[in-house]
Amino acid sequence: MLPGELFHPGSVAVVGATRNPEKVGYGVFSNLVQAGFPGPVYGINPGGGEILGHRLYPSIDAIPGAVDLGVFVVPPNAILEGIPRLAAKGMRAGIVVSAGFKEIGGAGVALERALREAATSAGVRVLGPNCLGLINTHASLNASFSRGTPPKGNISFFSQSGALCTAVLDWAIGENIGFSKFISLGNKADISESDIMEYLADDPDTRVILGYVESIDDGRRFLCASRQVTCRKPVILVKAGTTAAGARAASSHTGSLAGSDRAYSAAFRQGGVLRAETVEDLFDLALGFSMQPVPKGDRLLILTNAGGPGILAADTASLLGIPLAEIPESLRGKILPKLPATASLANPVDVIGDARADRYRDVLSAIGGESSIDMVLVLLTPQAMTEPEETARATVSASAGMGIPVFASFLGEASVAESRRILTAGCIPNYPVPERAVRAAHAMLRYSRLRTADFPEEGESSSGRPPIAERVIGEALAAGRRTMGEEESRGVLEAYGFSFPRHAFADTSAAAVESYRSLGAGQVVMKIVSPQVLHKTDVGGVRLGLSSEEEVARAFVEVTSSVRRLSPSAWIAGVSVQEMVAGGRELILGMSRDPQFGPLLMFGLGGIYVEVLKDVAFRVAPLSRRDAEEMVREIKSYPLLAAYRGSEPADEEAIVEALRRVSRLSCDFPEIQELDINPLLVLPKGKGIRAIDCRMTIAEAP
Amino acid sequence: MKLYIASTSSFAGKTLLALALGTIWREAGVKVGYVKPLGKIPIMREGRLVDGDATFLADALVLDAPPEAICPVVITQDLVMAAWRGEELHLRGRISAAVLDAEARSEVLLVGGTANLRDGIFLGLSPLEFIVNYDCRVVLLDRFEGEKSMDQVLSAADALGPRFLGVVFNRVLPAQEKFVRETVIPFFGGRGMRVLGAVPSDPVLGSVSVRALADSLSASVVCGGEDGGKEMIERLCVGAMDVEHALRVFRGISRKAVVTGGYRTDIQLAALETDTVCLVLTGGVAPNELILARAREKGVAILTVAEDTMATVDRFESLLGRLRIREPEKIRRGIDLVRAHVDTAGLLSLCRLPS
Repeated sequence: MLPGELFHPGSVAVVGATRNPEKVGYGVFSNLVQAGFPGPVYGINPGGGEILGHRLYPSIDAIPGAVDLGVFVVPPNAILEGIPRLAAKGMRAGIVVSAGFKEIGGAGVALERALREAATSAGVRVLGPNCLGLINTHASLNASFSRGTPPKGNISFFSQSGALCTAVLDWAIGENIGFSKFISLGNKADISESDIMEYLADDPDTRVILGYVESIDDGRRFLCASRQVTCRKPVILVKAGTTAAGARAASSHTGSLAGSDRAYSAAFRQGGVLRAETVEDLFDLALGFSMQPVPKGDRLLILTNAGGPGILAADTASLLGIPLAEIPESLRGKILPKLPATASLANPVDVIGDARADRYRDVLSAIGGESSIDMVLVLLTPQAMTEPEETARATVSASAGMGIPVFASFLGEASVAESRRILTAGCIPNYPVPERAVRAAHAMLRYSRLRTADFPEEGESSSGRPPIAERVIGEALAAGRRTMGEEESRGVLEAYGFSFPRHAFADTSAAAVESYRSLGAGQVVMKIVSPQVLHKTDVGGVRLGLSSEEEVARAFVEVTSSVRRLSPSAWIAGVSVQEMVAGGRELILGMSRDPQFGPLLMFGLGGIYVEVLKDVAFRVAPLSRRDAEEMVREIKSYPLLAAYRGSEPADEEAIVEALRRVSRLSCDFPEIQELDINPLLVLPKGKGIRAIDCRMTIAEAP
Repeated sequence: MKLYIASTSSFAGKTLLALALGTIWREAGVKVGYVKPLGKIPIMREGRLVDGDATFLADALVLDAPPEAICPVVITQDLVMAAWRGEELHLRGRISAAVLDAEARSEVLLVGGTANLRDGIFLGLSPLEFIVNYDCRVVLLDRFEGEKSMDQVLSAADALGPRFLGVVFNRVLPAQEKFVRETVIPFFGGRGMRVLGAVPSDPVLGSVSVRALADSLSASVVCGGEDGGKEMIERLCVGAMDVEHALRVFRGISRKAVVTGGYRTDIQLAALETDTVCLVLTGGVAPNELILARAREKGVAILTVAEDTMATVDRFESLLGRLRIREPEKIRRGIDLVRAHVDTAGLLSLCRLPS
């Protein structure tokens, strides 16, 4: 928990305040003074003197009163020295603006560790280092070297990039968008995005939380915190570095598809965080959440004075799955008499080009109290008769007390500039184009569903490591193995309730025929068993649909010869003869361990769906039941699992169960780095699944 | 009369020498036959298990005999398991029948040996025993590698005794030619041993260009085509194994192309760590950024093909790999090289001398 003094200090000390306006130490001090911080502000500078009418103290010890918050704008060593001294004066929180820590590498890394230790032993929580600082408009606190202070509002923003903080701040000031807190995280030596989110969840002055992250160090903590926070307030994040994926060599399907960005996406989704793709997106969503209530339903009414923008809005809505509201008879009756005969009463409602403000007002006031409409989008294109300002005012006053979210898109620039200011002042979010307005509405809708949905129960707690699995993995590790093929992995998966087709091992063609007889199956599959061959089909090591003794005997010769020829140095143990499972659909189920978030589970349909189309879903383990269900339904090829062209629907329940079993396995055995069950055959509903092939990569657990 | 073509290690050029001798001596009016007692490259042809090398030679020399008469024993998993279990393999009868049959139809019978004079002992088929039992003359092929070659050749010559007719050095690098002529040949002469030829290393024969490979596989060139794809590939590797194993194998093979699944990033990285000329990614999967960047940095070409690894290798093998002299042009060139650098007439008269 962060100390309240970080955001609401009674007094602030600026270590490194200076009269030189070129220096950051001056900027921070002057921001504190200019933002009108009501409590005492102490500047510390060994040279003494005066700054902006305040006395500069030559040392920390010279400060006459108590200090709640310390801002450090001095070289690293002076900070390490200053922390315990200020702590002695009551400091609970510190902001380290100075750079020269981890970001410079080498000695900086050690300094950052020392900073963290100094803070911990002094009982101080520290923001930064290498950050812009912090602003709390509700406490008239600007402890940063930003240019200017944004207006008071209910949006809070944290950022791992100081530069982006500056840009957002400039936008807020320019557009007159109210902000509550600005937090520049810097290197996150101590205070992380999770700490900030938890604090803001409790902050009565924050309605929506925005953030820009580049990396999250403690993925598990973040997931946990975001779950707690997002059921109370919306969290919208922009994550940079989406193309850094693939930098890690991976030896499995899952590993190569599960770049780090997939892990972030999965964790955001599971934590209820809305992900903005761009900074523009972030602002658009922020405006909506900040100014309007969350919608209770999805039916949208579009009000416009021109056909084109109305269609653009309707198209976007349709694309995002937002239905346009039916215009009920009662509403029709109320507005029909007030509109010209050429107006359209379908949705979009087109009050046509010559509409003055009164037509907008009439329609909007008639909408109030209609239970069949959940959201309204007001569109305006400036035409000869249009009254942009008056229409803006009408929109603001009609929407007050309507109880449903209202969005606006007044298109144009010169003739709508003033009306935009009116809308913003009246808390109607206005977007330059209708599509962006609809996207914002869509995000709010998603959030409202997410919040009202049952909170996912945590993944099941472990019932302990099954002894068989423990033994198999232990022995492989003891033998210095890094990969386990089908033969070894099978035992581990069976311990977690996976079933495999009946199978028998054979090392000669005669033994293969014997296995075929003893299995008594109509059709069998033959696979090479060789510890060095993991991708069996690549070397001709698999034959399907063998249905006679002759075929089996011949397949043995073919399979072993092919591997002998194409992989001359591989040791061939023999083959596995397996009952052929008919009538199933091929799936792939896998896990790859993400350095930040832990086990990342993957699900998709096998073959080209995963290899070419990369149509896969990811979630971070442990999986809740809902997570698993969502994974199955999220893939684009999901309709192929449901009844399709007369085929029976697949056993979806069994897939969900399988996902949760792999989730449990990955949590129980941190030794497993990667795991592929590929293919996993799903049979028709009620008949379960069969793992056909599997492999794992293992390493000593950290 | 039988001439056993032996070598000191794999890929010495036995198949080429057999092909060339067969062709050249036939031109001189000699009836030449070919038999390979033990085949180690099992392939399926028209539903039968045959030896890849032997069938190639049978085709090239237009030998009119069924595959089992040319290569009576092809190694299989069943055979190996039976050997492990100490079972009676009944191979000698088959071999004997094939040899006698072939001998009856030829004046000179070329016998294709195994990779070295030890291969086959486990199956009860010692090459030395064969040479003695069937009273063969022996020509030894060696891929010239300096003093390592000397150890191998001297040891083999010692084991073969008077049946050893001489050695042919193959793939002699241009820089070694003078040394072989002025030092190596006199060395053997001083010991009463013949060097029957020194075949220079030939870029066309020994490799295939990236461009030719891309063309023959209908592959798209993702990178590395800048120099017109002139880089030559000498060996083929299939990356279907685990990484550690792959790295071990890859380190041992220079100037190679590695065929592997497009998603096998680990294998691709391992290949890029070693002496690789070209990556062939299968399954229609493009390389990821990291692989692409590293390949560019190292000047390694990347080809992608839509087929799976198995199918790709099948096509690849017709071009390169163990059986690299499959194209008519290369066959011709190979024969010409032997004609120019090996004393084939001398070898023939040596064969004809009574024992």
